[in-house]
This record gives sequence, structure tokens and C-alpha cells, in this order.
Amino acid sequence: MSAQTLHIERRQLVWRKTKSTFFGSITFSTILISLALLVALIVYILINARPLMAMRAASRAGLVLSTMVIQWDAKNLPYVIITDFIPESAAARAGISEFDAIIHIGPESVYRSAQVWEAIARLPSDALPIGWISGDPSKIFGDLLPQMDPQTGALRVVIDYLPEESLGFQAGLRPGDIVTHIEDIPVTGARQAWEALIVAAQRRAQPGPLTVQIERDGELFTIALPAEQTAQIPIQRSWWRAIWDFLTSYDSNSPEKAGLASAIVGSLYLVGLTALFTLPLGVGAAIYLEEYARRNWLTELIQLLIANLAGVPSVIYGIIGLEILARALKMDRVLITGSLTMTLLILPMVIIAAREALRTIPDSIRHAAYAVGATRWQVVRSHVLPYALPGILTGLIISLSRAMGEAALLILLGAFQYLTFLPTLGSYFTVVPIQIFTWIGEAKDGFANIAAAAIIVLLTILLAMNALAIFLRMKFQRRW
Amino acid sequence: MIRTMKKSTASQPALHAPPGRYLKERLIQGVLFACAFLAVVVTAITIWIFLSGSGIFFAKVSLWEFLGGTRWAPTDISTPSYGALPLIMGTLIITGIALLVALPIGLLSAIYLSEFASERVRKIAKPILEILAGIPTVVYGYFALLFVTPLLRSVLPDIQFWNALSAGIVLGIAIIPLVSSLSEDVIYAVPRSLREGAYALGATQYETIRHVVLPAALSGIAAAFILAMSRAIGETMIVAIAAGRVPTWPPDLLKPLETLTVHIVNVATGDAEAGAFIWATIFAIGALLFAITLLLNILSYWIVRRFREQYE
Repeated sequence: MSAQTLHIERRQLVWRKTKSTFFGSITFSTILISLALLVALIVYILINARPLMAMRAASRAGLVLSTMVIQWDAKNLPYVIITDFIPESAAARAGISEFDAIIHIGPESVYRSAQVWEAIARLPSDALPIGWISGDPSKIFGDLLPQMDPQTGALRVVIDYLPEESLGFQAGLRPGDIVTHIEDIPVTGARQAWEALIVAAQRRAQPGPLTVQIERDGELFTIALPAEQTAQIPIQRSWWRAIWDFLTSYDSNSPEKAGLASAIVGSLYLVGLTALFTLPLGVGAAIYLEEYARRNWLTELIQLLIANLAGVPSVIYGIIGLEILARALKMDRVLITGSLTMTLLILPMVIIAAREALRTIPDSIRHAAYAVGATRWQVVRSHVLPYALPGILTGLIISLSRAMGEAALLILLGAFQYLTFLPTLGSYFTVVPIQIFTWIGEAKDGFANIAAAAIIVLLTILLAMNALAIFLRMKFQRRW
Repeated sequence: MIRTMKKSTASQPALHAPPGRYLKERLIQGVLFACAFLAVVVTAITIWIFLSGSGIFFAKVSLWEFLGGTRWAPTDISTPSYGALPLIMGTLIITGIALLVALPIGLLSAIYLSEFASERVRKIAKPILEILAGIPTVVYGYFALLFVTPLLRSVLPDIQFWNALSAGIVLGIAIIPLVSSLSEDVIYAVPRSLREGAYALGATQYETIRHVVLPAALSGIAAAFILAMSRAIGETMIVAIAAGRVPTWPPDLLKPLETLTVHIVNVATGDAEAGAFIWATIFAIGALLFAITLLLNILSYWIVRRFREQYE
């Protein structure tokens, strides 16, 4: 062999080695991709769940908000109103009532409810400086009457009646005045006058009086109208309180008030019942297949079907449960029907896990028991089963955590519900994943945040279940 | 075992078994058999339900219209139309995107875990994949709709709020662990002697994997891919949340679409009464879905069995 060919071979060798190393690092990078995705997912959900504390604090203080829209010149101008009056709340004591529009938080104009929550989260002290305009226009302008201008034929607005305690009267407005402009916005209607107040006030950097142009006896006047009221509202900010409130309140149309109580109780019931149904059936089937069954066509068929049932999509089980249990057997779409159907879904998984656990028990244990005269069932019950139990329970818990996160099947079984009570065995129900699904579908500000909070609750429960499974495996598993 | 016990008690009265023991054993065996037989019962009921349910559907709609029609509008009161092609294509598109994401990442992860990783790295890397596998699909749906879609919008400004692309990508992420754990099992099962044979001939690690290990594990990997496909076809929540719930024809990656599973969810969350014809559609769609996934599952089961016979 000449020196030249050896040289080429060495270059080839380096190239081949580089290729190998490169390939190795590519395969490693896929693990990093998975890790990055996992981190992104968790961080994103944590970030989205952060406003929960401020949301609950706001709702406790009586600020249950909704983002509304003023349609004006083909533009949508958002503003925030109070959608729920809570008597005895801090906001109620400050004089804020339902439908009032929140204009400023401190020196900042507010357009969306999320801004209020962000402000609460950033608050240096526990007092929220808030500026609002009453949602009842009569408290400001009295009764406004649209009128036709007798000379020009244009629409205009006249103060028809103005109580003395109204803000307008105190600012100098009188009945009979024609309101022409608020700041530079022309007034064309009674409702529009109120909307003009909101838009004009939002433009100001601070709460303060707005200039209102009026026509009185044919003369133009400008009046400073302090339409926006201000107050300091005490806010109790506590994560513990927020989490507790979130876990113990029912679903609601307002994200600040909606909680997971029914869903958590529903999920726990569902998973508990499913465990109750699955354990005997799954272990029974596994014992039969491992300890009793002869190798014949029926056993083969059963094994094939179990393997296939484990891969059937959950919606299919949903249809079966709906048709057989809920409709043909007239059990209705209630919790117990849901858990029976869920049993069908996870049974194949439990059988497969239990069989593997039984398979790890060495035959010597069985032989020893047979040798002292035990029957087959006695061997299984007093020897094989106790040793295999930790493995079986581990498999059961892992299957149940699948049931805990399952939503598609239960949507078909009627868990897609708005509940304001705690479900029981025979009642309609909902579960945490479906509550999350419902909240994701809500357009209102804040539902995405509580959906994230609910996801954290769900993941925490799943983590606890898996930790239990790992603990069981570590504590009781023996090597033979 | 039982039979021999009986014989011995007949010849030696002193060793009498307690009365009823034989009966009890038979009874227990019967009960255990019943538990296992449940699999047969459930499968039979499923097939029966889907046959009878789709019977009602196909009495009104021809099979040709169902499989070939391009307009799916079962809720249209004046001109209902039952062409399932938009749903079938929707399912295939989502599944295709998901597999494009999951197969390379899953397979390469499996190769890394079984061929390159040290024991220490393995102990960290495997739980990451297991956690990804354990995350409920509603969570992935949330992630797709609110994180991945806005991210994609920075690259593709035309992408809509609900779209096939982000649902498909995230579905792919969700099935990475399935692909990687099944493939790792078969790659790991390739006998060590084959690898050592390749090394002895002077092959690098990459060449060994490429020309020896992967071909040897090919059928098992194929089975893993098929199972992943079946899982993707049957996945519901990610698609229901992130891909919108509108059947579109022709389907577009950047626009909402509907899959077979999502149609079933739509009917279930809609306000149709129990007897309405729209409920019959879920049996036809369900039957199609069941048939597809069953075929894929049996195919992969068969491949795995064949593969096992080769090495044991």
C-alpha cells in the first residue's frame, strides 16, 4: 500500500469520525429541544397565572370588572366597568356601584380590566388610587332630552331635569341648558354624552374636571364638571387568600370570581370511583391471563383485543358510554356514568401494567406455595398478589393520572357544564380539564389567566399522583 | 393442579380438602375469566354500536357522498350536506404535521438515549420525556392557542387565531415521548453482538447505528410510527382548542379546520336534542375513526409480534 492511499484513508477516517460526533450531538440536541419545550410551556403557564392574585384581590375589594367597548366613528374604544355590586365591599364603601366606569388607576388611564390587575400587582402600598365615572348618567347630567334645533334642524341635547345633589348641578349646570360639547367632543345623544365623558376622561393623564360647553339662553358657557370621582380603595393582597378563594369558589361569568371547587370535587370523585371499578376488574383480568389462562385462540384473542383497546381514541369510548350507559341503560350523563366509561378507557392500561407486575414474581414463590398444598387461588391470593401489589398500584396510579387529565371522553358524557354546586355521584358534573377547556373558550379578559391557574392545579395533582407512584415503587419494589 | 388434589383426597381421607374448595376454585377462575373476557364484550359492543348507529346514517346518506363529498354541513337546515372529505383531510393534515415534528425528534431522542447517553444523562433525560407524556392534552391545547400561534404569527403574519399549523406542531410535541419510548425499546433490544460485529469491522458509531442498529430495529420503529400516527388521528383536545372548529374545503394550514374527532366534540357540546339526525353523524364519523385506528393498531401489533419472533 502506498503512502498516498494511507493518507486518503486517514482523511476519510477523520471525516467519518466527525460525522459520527456530529450525529451524536444532533441526537443530543433533540433532548434539549424537548427540555426547552417543557420549560417554555411551564414558564408560559406560570406567567399567565400570575394575575390571579390581583384578580382575586380586586374581586374581594368589590372590583369585579368587565372590558366594554364604545363604538365610535368605526373605531372600538375599550373601557372598563364594574359588573357586579358587592355590598359591604371596600369599593361599595367608597361609593362605587355597578356599571360605574373605571377611568384611572393612580396617574394612569385604564382601558382594559387586565390593566387594573397589573396595577394592583405593582401597587407599592395596599391602597388603590382609583378614579371612576358613575355608570348612572342621571347622577351627572340629570335627565337629558334629545331635541331638534328649531332653527338648524340639528339634533341636540337638553337637560330636562337635574336633581340638586347631582354632580352637574353642583358644577353649575341648570335644567334647560343645552349641552353642546364635552371637551372637544360634540354631544349628539343622551347615552353618547356619557360615552363622551368616558372618552374625554380617559384622555386626561389624571383624574380631574372636564370642560362642558353649554348653551344657555342663546349664550355659550364653559363649565368645569368634576365628573370623575376618586378614592383610595384598600386592597388585601395575599397569594394564600387568592389560591384558597380560587380553589373554593364555583364557576362564574366573571373570571375574578370563578373558581375550581366543583371541578376539583368532580375530578376527585371521578378518579376515586374509576379506581374502585378498575382495580378489581383490571387485576382480575391480569391474574386470569398470567396465572390461569392456557395458550389457546381465546387467550390470544383477548390479548389482541386488550392491546387494541388500549389504542382506541378516547372519544370512541365517549360514544360507547353515551350510547350504552347514558341512553340505553338510562343512567343519564352523570358522574357515575362518566367514571364507568373512564374505567373502560383505562382498563386495558391497568391490565397491561398489572400483568407486567405479576410477571416479575419468580416462579419459585409459586412453586413453594404449591409444594405446601396451596390451591391455585391460595397461591395467587396469599403469595403472588401481595408481592405484586406495589407494582400493580403503581400502574393503577399512572393510569388514573391519565384519567385525571382526560377531557374528550367526558365532554361526550355531559361534563361540559356550568356548575354552581358540588357534584355528587348521581348529579351532573364537571372536571378540571373540562373546566380549563371551557375557560379557554371564553373571550372575556382574565379567563385565559384563570385557565392557566387551573392548569397549575391540575399539574400539581398529577405531580402528586406520580410522586405517590414513584414512592410506592421505591418503597415496596423488591428485586428477585 | 386442581385435578391432582382431588385424586389424592379420594385415596387419603386424612388429607381431606375443606368442603367446597373445588367449587370455590372454579368460581374464582370463572370470575377472573369474566374480567378478562370483558375485553371481548367491550369490543363486540363497540362494533355493534357503530354498525347499528351508522346504519341509521347511511340509510339517508350514501357512502359515496360521505367519503367523496367536499361539503360538511350537517347543521345546515335547508341544505344539509354530509361530505366528510374536509374532516378526513383535516385529520390527515394535522396528523401529517404532527408526525413531521414527532418522528425525527422522537427517533433521534431514542437513538441518543439508547446509543449515546451515559447513565447519568439518561437519568435526567428520560424523566423529561415522561413529563411531556404526562401533560394533559388540554394543557397542550392552551399552549398551542396562546403561545405557539402568536409565535408563528411573527413569522407568518397571515396566520389566523385558530389554525391547523400550530395545532399540528403542538400535537407533534405531545407525541414525541410516545415515539421515543417505543423506538428506544426496540433499539435497545437489538443484540449487543450486532453492534460489536460492526465495530470489529471498523465502523464508526454513526455507521453502526445507520447500517446495523436501525435496520435491525426497523420493524419495531415502524410499529412505533404507526402507533404514533394512530394516536395523532385520535387526538381530540389539542385540535378542538387550537385548530378552530370549522370544516373548511380546501383545507389551509393557516386557517381553521375540523377533524373527525373534533366533529364528535362539536356535536356533544352543541345543543342538538337526543333524537336529532346530527347524532347519527357521530356514529358514522366514529366508525370511520374506530376502523382507522383499529387497523393501524393491529398493523403495529402484528409488526411487533413478527419482529419479536425474529430475535427470541
